[in-house]
Order: sequence, then C-alpha cells, then structure tokens
Amino acid sequence: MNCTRIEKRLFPYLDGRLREAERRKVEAHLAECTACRLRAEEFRAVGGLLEELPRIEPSGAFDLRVRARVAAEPQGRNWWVWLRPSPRVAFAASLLLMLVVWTASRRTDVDTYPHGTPATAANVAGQDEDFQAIKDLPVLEDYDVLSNFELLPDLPQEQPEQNSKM
Amino acid sequence: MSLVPAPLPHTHQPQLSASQRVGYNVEVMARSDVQLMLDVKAGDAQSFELLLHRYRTPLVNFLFRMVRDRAQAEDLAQEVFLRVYRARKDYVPSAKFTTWLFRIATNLALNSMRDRRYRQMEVSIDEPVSVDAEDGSEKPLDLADRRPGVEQHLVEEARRAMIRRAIEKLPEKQRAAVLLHKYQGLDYREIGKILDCSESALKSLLFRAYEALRVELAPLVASSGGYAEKGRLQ
Repeated sequence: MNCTRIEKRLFPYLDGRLREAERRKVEAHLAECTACRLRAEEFRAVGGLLEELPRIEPSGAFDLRVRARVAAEPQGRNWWVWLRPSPRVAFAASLLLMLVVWTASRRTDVDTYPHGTPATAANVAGQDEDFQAIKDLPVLEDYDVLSNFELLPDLPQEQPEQNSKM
Repeated sequence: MSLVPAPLPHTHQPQLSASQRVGYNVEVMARSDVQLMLDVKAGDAQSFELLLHRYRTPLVNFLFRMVRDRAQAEDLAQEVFLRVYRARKDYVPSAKFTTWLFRIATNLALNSMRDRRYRQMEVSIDEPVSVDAEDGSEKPLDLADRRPGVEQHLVEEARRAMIRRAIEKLPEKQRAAVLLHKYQGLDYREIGKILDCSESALKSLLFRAYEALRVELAPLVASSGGYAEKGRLQ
C-alpha cells in the first residue's frame, strides 16, 4: 500500500470500519511512512478538537412554532375545494360571462348584414351617395359612345332640303 | 382527522425523555423512523410528534454549525419538519429516514448560506468575537472582567471560536461532510447520498476537509497531544 491509496482508507481506519485484512495493511504502511503516520495522528487530534464544541438545545418555542406551521398547512386537497365560493372564482366567472355575452352580440350584428360589415348609419349614408354617383352613368356612357364611334362618319348624311339647291 | 395534537405546555426539564414529555408509550417509542413516517402518512399525529422530538436537537445543531446563526438554524429546522410533513402523502421508504431528513436539511442550509453570502458581503468577518456557549450568539470579548475563572473561560471560548472559524472556512460541501460524519454518526453511504456523491468521493472530501482543518488548527493540534491516543475519530 502506498501514500495515495491511504487517502481513501484513512478515515475508515480511524473510524474502525476497515476489515481486518485492510486494517493490517494500513497499519503496516503507517509503521513505515512517517508522513502518513503523522497525518493520521493529526486527523485524530482534529476529531478530538471538534468534539469540544458544545451542543445547543432548541429554544422553548421551537416545538410550538413547528406545530403552528403544521397546523397552518391545508389538511387535504380535493376537487370540491374548487367549488367553494371565493372572490377569485367569482371574478373569473364574471369576466367569462361578459366575454360570452359580448361575443354573442357581435355575432348577431354580423349575421344581419350580408357583406360582413356592420349595418351602421354611416354605412347606409355612404351607400346613398354611391347610388347618386352611378345613377347618371348611362348618360355618360351614351356620350362616350357617340363621340368616339368610328362608324359615325360613314353613316349616310341627311339630305338638305330642296330649297338649298336653288 | 387533524394531524396536529393539542399544544403541550413547554417544560424546561431536559432530563425528561421525549416519551414523558409527549405522553408516548414504550411501544410507540420503539418504532423505527420509517415506521413512524408511514404512520404519519396514514394520519397519525403522535408519530409526527415523536419524529419531531427525536430529531429536533440533532437538526438544530447540524444547521447551527452549518449557518452559524441560532435563529436561522431554528427557522431552517422548522422548515425541514414542515417539508417532511408536506411530503408525508408521497413518502416511500426507499432510503433511511435520516438520509432523507438530513438531505433536506443540507439543501436548505446550503441555499441559505448562498443567499446570506450575497446579503452580508459588506460585513467584516475579522471582528474579534466570542461565542456564548448557552445561546450560541457571538459577543465581543470582554477583557475587563477579572473574576476568578474568567480567564480560563475566555481561553476556552477563544479555543472554541478558533475551531468554529476553522469549520466555517471549509467549502460548503466539505463542511457538511465533516458535520454529518462527526456529529450525526451517519455512515459513508448515507452521507454520500445526502451530498449526492459516491462513497469514494466522500472519503476524498473528508480527507481534504481534515487536511484543511489540521492546517487551520495547527496550534491547537500541536498542543492537544491527542494524536498520541489510539482510537476512532468518533
């Protein structure tokens, strides 16, 4: 056994948790290695120093505080808890109801107007203006046809009255 | 059925056993931790009380040595018991109860120490202090007191303060390993599970921790003469 391998066996050795064969190997190494022997002795001394620290007792109110915190814990959870009236549930339900009502009323408006546009007064007025704009359209259409019709010159001209020959 | 028994009047008689204080019979006292925890799971309030009495002092001491603040140690210990209570319904005895308990405690302590480190960056740790053995609070040294025995008391307190500081200087995981090994008497496998490391890694951790402690405590080690004595560390 060498100094490196001692590292993981030193604590079990000092704690008395090594098997007999292992313990003899460690002791053989400690007998011939001064550095490891000194380290083992100092580790044991450190262990003794740590024992000098006194134990403390929990304060008198410790148990009471634990009991109070445990008592404040919910004793059980079941689905009926969610049905108990609470401000949060009532608020959420109100919001949901308002949303449903608003959505339903909006769908009704859309259904009553065929092109997907709400039938408001402004839309109706705009429609009248459009109608006024196009109601004279046949007149304009006749003018364009008459002014640009290429066959017009080929049409037979009306003969002047007899008195013009004279 | 409520798991919380009626509050008991506190007694300042430490010689009373837990069974005497809470009125348990011998049969209940003899139950293993795992059996008690299974009883808590089944809704038995007395079993929780007994676990509380079994582990309140070891937990508070472990946490006090970890965080070095008594009030905080008690708060953390309460939190440990509360988490045990909360986890009762899901408890499965897959490991020793102490492993589970001290794993919760160690994690809480490490988190608390990390949080506190950020909050107390500006506080000097070099201020000379002494630690009162009874309440664990640190007080400035009172060197003007000339009563008989006071000098010896101060020497002992200075010695303890040196040991505490040496432990405090250890990295968190090494500190937890030393405390669980030295004061809780847990075996290597249990400590390894608590600290989430292998048994082999734990032995290396302890070795490095004791190397650091023997350097820090060299004056005391040299004067103790304890290393001539053969025996276990514990």
